[in-house]
Amino acid sequence: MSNRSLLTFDGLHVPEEFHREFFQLVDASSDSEKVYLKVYQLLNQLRITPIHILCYGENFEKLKTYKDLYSMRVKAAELNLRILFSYKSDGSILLHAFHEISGKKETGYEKHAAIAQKRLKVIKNE
Amino acid sequence: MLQRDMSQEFISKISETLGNKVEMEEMAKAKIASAILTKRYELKMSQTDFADYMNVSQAMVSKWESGENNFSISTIAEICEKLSMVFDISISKTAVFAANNDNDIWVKGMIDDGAHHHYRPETTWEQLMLAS
Repeated sequence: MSNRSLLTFDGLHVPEEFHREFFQLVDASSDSEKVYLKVYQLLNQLRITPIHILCYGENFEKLKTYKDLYSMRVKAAELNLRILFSYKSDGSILLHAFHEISGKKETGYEKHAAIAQKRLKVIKNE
Repeated sequence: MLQRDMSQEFISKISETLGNKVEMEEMAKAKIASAILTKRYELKMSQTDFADYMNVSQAMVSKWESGENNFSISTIAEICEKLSMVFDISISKTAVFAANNDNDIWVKGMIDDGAHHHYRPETTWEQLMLAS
């Protein structure tokens, strides 16, 4: 049966590139359902809680050396993903998803932050 | 290259997997998690200090704030009492207006048979029930 979400998540933007990348990463796992649940939890929190308060918790962080970039920690079963996101005038925008394999240090984000920043720049120029 | 916004497709795919029951659970848990984290932020406490204050483990605070705990109503009441907050539960009919295009509204819920129905905004619940 077709299931339409109870929520519309107004203000959430999901570019095609991110959409494709996310499902490629997650659907290859046997734990995709757990990841979906975790992402749904986090997006719900992002929807109703100011980002500076979320960053006081353990699942969200502001990337200090990368302007306008935030990270969302998606840990579910054996998968440990990060979603980099940002904001534009009308809401949040998911930019890049990747497996966290280089530790929690922000220096491990260099390659991925660059991808996110490049996508953000393109989107802001559209 | 102009990028299409896939937010509807993204949420729909996740929603299809989870189902409305889980969605409702998660919506409630997110509200509780948000309230607890906001309170800890206002109190300027670390998770460890907050855990001591609430007389629970730090791991439990982590679960609360991550929206991973299945709270009983009694536990929510205890938390609210300790943090000088109140909670309320709202239950209503399951009509959800998920999109609004040219005065047509997607309606699902009690009349959901898997198809999408178009109704005018002024359509009454009685008419919706008859249509189903």
